[in-house]
Amino acid sequence: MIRSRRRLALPFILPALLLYLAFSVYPAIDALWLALHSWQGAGTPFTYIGLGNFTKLTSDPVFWLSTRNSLLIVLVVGVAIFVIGFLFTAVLRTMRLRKTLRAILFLPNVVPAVALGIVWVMILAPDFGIVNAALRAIGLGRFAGIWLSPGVIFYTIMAAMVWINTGFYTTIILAGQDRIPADYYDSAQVEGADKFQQFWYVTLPMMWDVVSVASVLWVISGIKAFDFIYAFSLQGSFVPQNVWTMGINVYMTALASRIPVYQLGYGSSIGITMVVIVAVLVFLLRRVMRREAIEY
Amino acid sequence: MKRLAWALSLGLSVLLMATGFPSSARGAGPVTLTWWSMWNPGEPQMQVLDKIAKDFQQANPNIKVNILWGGRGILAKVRQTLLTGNPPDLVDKDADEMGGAFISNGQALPLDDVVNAKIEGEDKTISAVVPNSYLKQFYMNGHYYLIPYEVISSGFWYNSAQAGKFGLTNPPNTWDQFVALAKTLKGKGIPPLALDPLGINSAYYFYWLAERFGGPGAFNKAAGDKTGAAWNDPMWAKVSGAVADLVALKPFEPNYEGSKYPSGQNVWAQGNAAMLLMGSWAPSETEKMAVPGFQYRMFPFPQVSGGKNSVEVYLIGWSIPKGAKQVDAAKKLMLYAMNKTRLQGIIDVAKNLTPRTDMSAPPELKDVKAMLESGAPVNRIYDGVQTDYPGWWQTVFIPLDDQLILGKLTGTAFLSQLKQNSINYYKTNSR
Repeated sequence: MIRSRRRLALPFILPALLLYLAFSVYPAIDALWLALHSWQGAGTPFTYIGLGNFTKLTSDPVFWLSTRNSLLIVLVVGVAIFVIGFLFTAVLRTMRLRKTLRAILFLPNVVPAVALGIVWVMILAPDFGIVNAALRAIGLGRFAGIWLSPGVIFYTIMAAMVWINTGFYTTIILAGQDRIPADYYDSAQVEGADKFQQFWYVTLPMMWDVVSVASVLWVISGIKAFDFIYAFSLQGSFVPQNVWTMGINVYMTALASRIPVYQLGYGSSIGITMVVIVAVLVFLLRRVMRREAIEY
Repeated sequence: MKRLAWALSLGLSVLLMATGFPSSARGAGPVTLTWWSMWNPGEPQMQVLDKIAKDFQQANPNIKVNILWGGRGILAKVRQTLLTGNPPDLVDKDADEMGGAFISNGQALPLDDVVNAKIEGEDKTISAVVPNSYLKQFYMNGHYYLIPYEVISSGFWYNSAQAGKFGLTNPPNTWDQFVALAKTLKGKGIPPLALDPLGINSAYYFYWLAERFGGPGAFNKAAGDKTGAAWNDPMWAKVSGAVADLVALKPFEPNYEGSKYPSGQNVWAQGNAAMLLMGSWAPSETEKMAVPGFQYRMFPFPQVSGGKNSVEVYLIGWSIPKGAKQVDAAKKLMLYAMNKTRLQGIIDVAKNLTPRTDMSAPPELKDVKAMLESGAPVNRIYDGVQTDYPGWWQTVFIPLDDQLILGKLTGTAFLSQLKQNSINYYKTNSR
């Protein structure tokens, strides 16, 4: 009976499986094949160059700049997101309106990143932006107008990404915390534990698996970061190179049409390298965060 | 039960496949011409071209025109369709970008017959009314590949209603006069220049000085020099030095480093800066923000002592990708659209210039028209560097030029880094 039900499932799975193979697996394999070639699109020679694109990456200062930016986002923005997320968790745990506040925190995730990029530019515009107007109103005009300047814009982007992503990861952390029975906190309080000790000895160990999964999700998301940064920093048709992440580097190298670089093979090699970096980071993260699951 | 499951799966698969068949396979009907355009819905040029397409359909009931108003990123989509063998029948975009996207790699169809054909409703051919120097911008292997319908140039824009305040009653002709004016305005506390932010906007200064000192082709030749030796020519020290000297005056509006397009041109349109170095789209893009009574005038980029003269010709037009199905319909539409009466919308509604020598200019662009008709040699925008050497332009030149415009590099340091970075770039890249 069970075997026949399994056989019954196959025709239902097959269409989705075929679509997945066609639109996810095949393109990934094809991207790897493309990365081994020099190609600029239709009408140009498709020349096998082996690992030539990957060798080129090692001496490309733009690649190293974009990789550095992506890793900074993963590390700096990631740490900020989780620290703020845990702080919110500690505060919201016993608040009355926690469900409403949780929904408000999650709101930036609902809005498309491109729209957020455009809104943030308007908020930070040097002449009419609300932030600069407020700074001028309180006598801090010397700090007004700098947020989008070349030396500062990347830090502004990181701060904005913390704001955008904190809600999502706080929601995950809160969901993990909700599973912890209140008895443990009661016992901790009775034994004289303060808030930080409750967090360190109860909350964190008991939701470690949730934090581990959330970290992996962030690493993948951080390395792939593209749409908000692109919309925020776009100048007409050009993205200043100092804010390029690996995703933007792939786009500007292979696909962006206003400046017709169109190095599809090389762009593909950057994409493959992104996958390798994600795999290495996730592996290291899982090793560092590995511990025995606590049953309760 | 098992048979029912198989039957359901099969039926679902067939249904999914059937919805994927192109409509043309479903039987004969009017010809559908697919046109992908660079304009966004609502833009003035979109309104003009949309009307032309609708009138064309009425005049040709067997041709249905299906337009995708795809915006400035349309060429990325066109390039994908070239791979699938199903491109649109007609594309319009900036000529330089189409050149880089598919014309220069042999993926466009020749348009010699269109260039030499009579415009619909007229006795003149396109070659008779559009200057050959324009048509030849994309002339390769003995064939034309572009039919332009709009021409753009660039120069220094100002408000003649405030010419007295900005010292522009007699605009400067030479670079020395221009710098002297900038100094005078700075002394009065008036920002001489507005700058829409870094990147391709600020590159105007270096590019125009390169045209003036070296003439058309000099910048292009140096950009493609893999040895970097071209940058040793003393001319380049004059170019970078002139930019650096201008930047040292701090001539741009406050907070220009942190502004975002189009804030620079809006600052200028609101009378808070004297001049704007910009393309001839400046009036149409700023008219809603301009102070009441704004009178648009433009003067050409000043000459340098012992230098060369040229005028920038930047075209927007149509091309037909290879593999297009409705080629005859596309050619017919271009000849229909190039009619003087129909193209008048580019002047009246879009407030831009057409490439036809027998058509006028909107009042705001009369200075541009005069400049284009001056007889000076023609140069491509950025001397064609952005199209011919896009990787070098994007990863070597623009970042360094940004540093020059921000005042972080002297002219000498800029040139030295430009040469070294070019040499390093061309070790692993071809363009």
